[in-house]
Amino acid sequence: MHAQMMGLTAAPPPDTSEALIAALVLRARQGDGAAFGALIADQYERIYRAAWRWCGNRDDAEDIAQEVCVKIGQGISAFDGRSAFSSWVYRITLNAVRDWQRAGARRGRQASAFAEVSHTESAPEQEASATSRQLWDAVRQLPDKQRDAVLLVYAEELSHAEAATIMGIKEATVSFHVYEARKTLRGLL
Amino acid sequence: MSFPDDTDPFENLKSGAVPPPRDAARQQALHAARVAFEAENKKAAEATQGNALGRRLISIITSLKGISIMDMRLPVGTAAIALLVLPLGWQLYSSTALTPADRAATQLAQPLEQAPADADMTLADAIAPAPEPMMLEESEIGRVAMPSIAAPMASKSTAPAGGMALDSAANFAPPSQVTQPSGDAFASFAEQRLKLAAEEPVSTFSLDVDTASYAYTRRMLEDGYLPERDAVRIEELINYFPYDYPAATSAEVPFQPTLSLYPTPWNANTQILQIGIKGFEPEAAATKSNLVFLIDTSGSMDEADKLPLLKRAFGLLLDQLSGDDTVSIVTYAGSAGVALPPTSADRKASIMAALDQLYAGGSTAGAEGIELAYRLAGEARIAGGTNRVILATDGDFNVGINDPEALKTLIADKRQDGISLSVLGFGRGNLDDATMQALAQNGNGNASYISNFAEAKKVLVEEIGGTLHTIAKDVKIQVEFNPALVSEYRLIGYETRALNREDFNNDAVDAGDVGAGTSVTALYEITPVGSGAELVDPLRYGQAATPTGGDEIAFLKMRYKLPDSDVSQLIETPVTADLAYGDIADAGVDVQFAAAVAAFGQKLKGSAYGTAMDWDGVEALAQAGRGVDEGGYRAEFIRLVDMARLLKPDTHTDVCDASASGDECE
Repeated sequence: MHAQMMGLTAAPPPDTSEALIAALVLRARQGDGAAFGALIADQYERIYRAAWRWCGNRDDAEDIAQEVCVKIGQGISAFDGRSAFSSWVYRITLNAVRDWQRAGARRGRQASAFAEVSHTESAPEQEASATSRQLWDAVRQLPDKQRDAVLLVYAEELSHAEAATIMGIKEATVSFHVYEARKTLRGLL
Repeated sequence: MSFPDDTDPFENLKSGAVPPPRDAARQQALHAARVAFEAENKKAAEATQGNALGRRLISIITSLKGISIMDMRLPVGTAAIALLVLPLGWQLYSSTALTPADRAATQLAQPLEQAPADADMTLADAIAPAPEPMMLEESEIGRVAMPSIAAPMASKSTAPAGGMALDSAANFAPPSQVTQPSGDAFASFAEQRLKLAAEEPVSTFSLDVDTASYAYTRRMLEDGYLPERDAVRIEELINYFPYDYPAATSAEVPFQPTLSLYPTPWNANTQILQIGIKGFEPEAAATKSNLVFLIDTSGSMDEADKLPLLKRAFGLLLDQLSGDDTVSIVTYAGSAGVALPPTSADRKASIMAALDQLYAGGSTAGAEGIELAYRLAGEARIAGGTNRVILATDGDFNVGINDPEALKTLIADKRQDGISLSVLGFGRGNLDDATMQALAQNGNGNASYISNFAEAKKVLVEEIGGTLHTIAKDVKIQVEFNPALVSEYRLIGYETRALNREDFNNDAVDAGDVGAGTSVTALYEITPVGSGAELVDPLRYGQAATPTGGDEIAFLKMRYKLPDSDVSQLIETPVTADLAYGDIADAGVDVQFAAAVAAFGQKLKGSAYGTAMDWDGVEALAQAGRGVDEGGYRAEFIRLVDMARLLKPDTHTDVCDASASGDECE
């Protein structure tokens, strides 16, 4: 009944408790458009923030977030609930980021000089200190798995177990990737 | 800079603040998601239960969790080396001359059987990472056997190790195997098959004046990649080039067919029937245009060969316009906006200033922009002139196009109101060719692919008349072959333009349009009765007595509508033996060149027909057909033949040839 109200107003629910999300997911899977609208409105912020953390650019993050929202819309009826909804969303987001960067690398061949200019232009002022920006840049340049592990654990502040579910690997492997990342970064920083 | 060893640098990541998303982008993403959700629900409601082919498999495959490299306790180094070496070894093994022939054949046949099963994996992988070693194997198979599978596979492979190995394998593989995982989308189509004149004597199709396929193919070849099969549309390759057919003299009968019949260069026993038309070219001063540019300014346009190229190309076009013409600019990105209200084209400074301010950023909302553009075109409508929306994009319609049918309907409705639509495609890696084609066809316009500045000059300066001014619309061609003289025939290209026999006389059925001064060519390969080149055996028990049509080989009918009319006109002419040339060299340079381009397209596609001709033959024929070649386009084509020869050598065994049936490879 609570969720019903949310659906009608289409505003992000103030209480994003897991039970509420689970209820919305269930109804969305059964084809309830209002529930899906409320659900996606609630998730957007988190998706966008994750996308931004992974790529560090607002335009790209918005595009990726939109892509992820569309994918969720297409896939939610097939979401089987075996893992947590949030893990599923993270996984789609990470895949979207990866596809985006692949496509970017391809495009980059044609205009790498151009891309470089726009990259520095869009370096966000929020990362005020040079140290912090350098750290973010270095982390984003890590190999995919190491980057994913580090960002999930430290930036998204998830547990190793949660990160492991999202990445589809074992908990120990997450720790291993983080360890490897630290080693790699010692060289970069 | 360094961090002391005792503090964890990663702790600093927590404090990283994220700039908030723009509200417009948020709204749009939510809208897109809801649309996708509705569309998926509708689809699910229509689809039968069960796991129908083509339905997306989207779920986390938790059961595959345990199969990644780390969990199998394989030493990482060994695994990485294996990933590198295995495909390479397979490559060398299968391409060495020492491989026993039967062995090689099994090898080729196997991946074909395996590939459809893997296709499901590809879809699943969009969400769930599959185990890496498997991935690689599939990609390797895909690259050789099924380029269309290989493309999505490669762009979606997961692990860094897998990704690296993929790249290396691509570098080592012989160039003949390299198919670009381009990310561009093409509508797939089956090749035109051979038809029996006795069973199906009538062939009907719509003209196609687009040239996008040639520009795309050229770009891929110049970068050293073979284009995907579906990216090569032979009629668009042929029609890219200007041909010197006799032009019509008045706007009332805007073109006349030019027919010739000559021996096929790749088969001595068959003939080619060439149908060529050249559109009437009115005086440039007599035309008035109201153009609305609908420009994609999404983030992906932010590359040197997209928005900046578009701006320069636009400058070229502006020089072709006069004070009688009106120009407006609408952008679509985060939100649709009017960048320039309808402005007389002689105010070049203000138009260029508006253009310079465009900046690429944000996501794409194609449909809203189109509505706005049509509204502006309606406001500035010029009665009796050209009213056209020109859409410039790199193919991103990731919002409104979720319901492509609705957008097509909108464009078709506006076409009835006299506002047409053309599409200019830019860039690579994101191009949605299928959508571009669909929109332009519904909008009575043409789709062009602007790969570089020279191409912009061709489309917007040299062929500006054809791009802007339609002289005949809904042009349909119907050819009836005389079974007494022709046993088999095959239309070359025009797969995506085929019409039903009854559509020919139905004026409500939409077809291609011809612009001012445009030349269009269609080729049929025909097998004369008793030539010995028939691919189909005669019936054992004979057939119904064939009506004799005298000495006519075929009968050509063309229907077209004048630009402001809804009633079609008919042109009829018989194809008789006196049109025939004994030698292709006598038929003129245009004929030789068109045949060379057709052969080129068939070879490039790995067509089921006409691949017997070698690249040297194609090049010699193109050289012979070079003629005056004012724009240098034919010389450029000859260079492309060279490039294609390197990428797909004559000795290269096409998988499709080996499997003996072209169908499986479409």
